Amino acid sequence: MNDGLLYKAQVRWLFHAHIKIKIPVFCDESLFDELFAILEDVDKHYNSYSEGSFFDLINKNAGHFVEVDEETISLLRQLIYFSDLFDGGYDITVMPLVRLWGFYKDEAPRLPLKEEIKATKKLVNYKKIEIEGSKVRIAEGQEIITGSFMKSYAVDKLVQKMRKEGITDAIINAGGSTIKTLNNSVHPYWVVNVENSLKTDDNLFKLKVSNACFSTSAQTKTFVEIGGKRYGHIINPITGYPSENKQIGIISTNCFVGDIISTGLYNQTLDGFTEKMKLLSSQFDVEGFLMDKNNSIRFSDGFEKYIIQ
Amino acid sequence: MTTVKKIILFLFGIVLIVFGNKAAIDTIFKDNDGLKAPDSEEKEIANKNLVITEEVDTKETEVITPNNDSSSPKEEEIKVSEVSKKEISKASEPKPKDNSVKEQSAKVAEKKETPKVKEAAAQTKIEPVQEESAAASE
Repeated sequence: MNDGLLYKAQVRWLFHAHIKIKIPVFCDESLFDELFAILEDVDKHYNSYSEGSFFDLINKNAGHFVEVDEETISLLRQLIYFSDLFDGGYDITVMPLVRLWGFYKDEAPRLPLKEEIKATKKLVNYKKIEIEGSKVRIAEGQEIITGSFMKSYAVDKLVQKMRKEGITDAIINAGGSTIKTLNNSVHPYWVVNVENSLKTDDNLFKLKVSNACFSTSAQTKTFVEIGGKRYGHIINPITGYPSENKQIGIISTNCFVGDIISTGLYNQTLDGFTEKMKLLSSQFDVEGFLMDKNNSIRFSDGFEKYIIQ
Repeated sequence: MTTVKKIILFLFGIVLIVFGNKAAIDTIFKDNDGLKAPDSEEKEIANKNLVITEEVDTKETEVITPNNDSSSPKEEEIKVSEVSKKEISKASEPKPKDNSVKEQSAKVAEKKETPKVKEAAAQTKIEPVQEESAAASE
């Protein structure tokens, strides 16, 4: 590591998270506005939580076709591809189940009845997303949630802009769950501290991340408590129940891919994780780990090479 | 002097001695009483206050104790009196209230500041190469 390097850093609040951009000190400060503008644009037009965004319109007009832009169509096609890859274990129409479990609700959460879960699961099916030209329709009662990929998609677009600007050494920390690094020969890698989601002030390991993205998901901070038991926000679309796994981390070249894999594999068993990672690594440059409900950690075959401590 | 006069003087002397002594005794005792009187009033007031305090405690105990059971453990009474003492002491101390108000206003300020991060977070910091922490906390 070159300790003599200096950077300019700015933090702004977007996607319900603190987004930090750190660029070389010689960069003009006005560049931050341009960079954050890219994130703001994605947040405004594609985040399902943003009023008037394309995904918001699709959700509000469930059962009817909605005119959208090419980017939304492209995103949906990629998301459907990943849902197929995970055999439905990853599904952006999972929102009705998320709501059923008490997330995004003002009233106190309660344990859903089996019948309710069964009925709600019928609404969760990415195959019901219809694309006709520039129009999209989801079935009545369905709702798309973009939380699993929107922030990382925005970071990928941001990185494209940074490269265009000639920036070859930088780091973007999007809420701690998505960290993208840019590196050159002077500064060949950034060190990413992977916190242990079970213990505060404790790290699982330090990773050497070079021109790559580290995505992590955990349920310890986002959960509902029902009858003294905590239920995390990552719901298995197949079972209808929140996953009991503790933490996952994925290193990938592309943030969007890494975040989707991070969510898609969160519901897996350790053996399922190994099997899926072998399949995914044949198509994408990805490595990672999974901590299951018993706190056992499984690495993918090539993950250990990233651990420096 | 005639015998009669002597007898009258003797009797008069006796009367003087008797009344004189009584006056002396009254003076002594009345003085003590006189001194006691204001003390006793204060003590009585103090006693009344004590009695009133005890009555209040007892009433609170009676209200709080389930079934108004006279055989309820003394600990509960102590607890009640402790609670009432704490309540009184809290009520008589304005400072914590001020602090709580300050804390509340501070919290409000924090909440108000959050959007500022979005709008006016244009504070650029100069940083060296640092480790970044990854945690799915947001």
